[in-house]
Amino acid sequence: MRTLNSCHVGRRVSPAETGPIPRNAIGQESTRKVGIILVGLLTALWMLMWVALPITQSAPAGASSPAAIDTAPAISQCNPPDFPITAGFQVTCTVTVVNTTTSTGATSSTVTTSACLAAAGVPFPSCPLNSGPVTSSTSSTQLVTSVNQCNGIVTGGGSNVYCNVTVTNNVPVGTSTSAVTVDQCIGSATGGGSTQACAPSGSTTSATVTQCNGSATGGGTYNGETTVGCTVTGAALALPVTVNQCNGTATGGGSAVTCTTTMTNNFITPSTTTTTAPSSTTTATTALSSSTTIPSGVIIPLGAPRTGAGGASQSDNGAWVALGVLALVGAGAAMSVALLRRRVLTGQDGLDRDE
Amino acid sequence: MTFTTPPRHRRRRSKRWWVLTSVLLVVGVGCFAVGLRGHQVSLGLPHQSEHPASPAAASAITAPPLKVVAQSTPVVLSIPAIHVVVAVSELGLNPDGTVQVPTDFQEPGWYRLGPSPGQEGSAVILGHVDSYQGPAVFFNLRSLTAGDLVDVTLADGVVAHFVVTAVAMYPKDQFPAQQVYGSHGHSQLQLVTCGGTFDSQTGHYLSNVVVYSSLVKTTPTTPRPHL
Repeated sequence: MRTLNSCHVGRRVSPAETGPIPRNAIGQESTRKVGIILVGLLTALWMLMWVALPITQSAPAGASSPAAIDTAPAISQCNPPDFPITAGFQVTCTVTVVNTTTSTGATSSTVTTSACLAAAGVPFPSCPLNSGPVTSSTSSTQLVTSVNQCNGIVTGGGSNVYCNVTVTNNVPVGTSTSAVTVDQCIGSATGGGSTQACAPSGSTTSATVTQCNGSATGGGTYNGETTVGCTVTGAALALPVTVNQCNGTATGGGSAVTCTTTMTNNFITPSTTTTTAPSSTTTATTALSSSTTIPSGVIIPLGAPRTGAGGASQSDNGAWVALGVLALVGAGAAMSVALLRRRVLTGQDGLDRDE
Repeated sequence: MTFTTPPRHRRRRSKRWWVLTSVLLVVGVGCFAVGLRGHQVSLGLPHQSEHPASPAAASAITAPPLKVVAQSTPVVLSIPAIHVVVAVSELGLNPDGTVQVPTDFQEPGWYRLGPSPGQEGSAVILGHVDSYQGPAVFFNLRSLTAGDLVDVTLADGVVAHFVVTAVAMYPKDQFPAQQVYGSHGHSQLQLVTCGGTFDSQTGHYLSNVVVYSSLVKTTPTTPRPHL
């Protein structure tokens, strides 16, 4: 009598063909079935996570920004785990910081962020993977001191990353400045067929701007773009803001990283209606109203207020989610059965051949 | 006698399971995506369609000449009709000239580059209609109607009492800034939030809701008891 153990690997034989199956063989069979079902359920769970994460990311990513600004003057976005570390994505993230100090010492900041996640090649501003671009604009009485974005993401290859940081400091005339030091493009674009365009070059430790280091190391490039193209504009900064972006990012082959940092100072003459003096680094184009005095006339703001974030209209629809969960679990179970049947068929095919 | 299913039939059944797997997968992903994206809610006015209020209607606010109060920062806003009693922050301008919005979704802000509530002119208090998580402080602002009361407690202890005269909704590209922020010759308080349809592409609502109210009386400072 043949036993299951004498069969080829992966082959099972029906009782009609083999006669009674030994008890230990039945135990192995059950274990195998349980294993396959477990694999199916785990696959369903993985699919569930895969679908849920990119969608649910959008709201928390935006929601976390306002709170973070009031508690800590550090801006962080487009980093893991909010953004993926796998392959084939297009990431476009921007941070605009406006820091202001007045002659009376009052401080304030305004931060505007935008985060977009799409499949590689999908043009901005289409961001289906995080329902974006997820934008936020927040104000605080604290100065922003650091920006951290686009680090260690989309490392699986075939991705492109565009991240920009713009820092504008509005300070009273006479405020001293410190040099903007740079540490960028070190150990990047090291793979075959890579191209790199970084300016200025620099490898200062604890630099003001640390960007594009150890990125796009997998070789090749994305769609003919420069593999690593990173620039820093602005030589001096009146208020200290460190930028840390695009490091260890898009390290898989066929990826591209393009990141820029722009630092600008506006030296304001203290008066009720302020004027903008030429910047030491970049020409400023915005006129700033004094925020410390209330003028006798009313200043009519431009545009319409943005006083909503869409939370009320983006509330989850529990019925659909539950149905989705059921369907995905069902898919896992069906896959398990399909796998089991395939194994049975494979075994029977083997038997047929043997016979 | 043993019956065995012909191999072709077995294969067909196996294929059916794979088809079922694919169908359930597509249905599951679709349902999940729809469920998590949520359902679109239009935060329109309950009493009128989403159209810009005619300037004539909005400015046809009749208010008796009242003795206005001295400039003082508003500290508490109370709107009994929608159960709002909340502290008020201060707002200025963004560098691009637009008005700042509150950082706290549950706390409205007074536009400090205009008059304070109770002074001649239009004081403006802005609040969020919702946050990323759900309704915010001015979520029910759109349900106010003419005659509802709005009270503002000022830092000097004076309480300015306003009565709602009109509620209007404007598309953002037609927001009547002059009408909302400008003086109409008497003391007004305008409450502003977002409304209408939420545009998930831009992450913003397409309209603004403005509640116009006029000063009806002021309660003088209550002397603090000496202990």
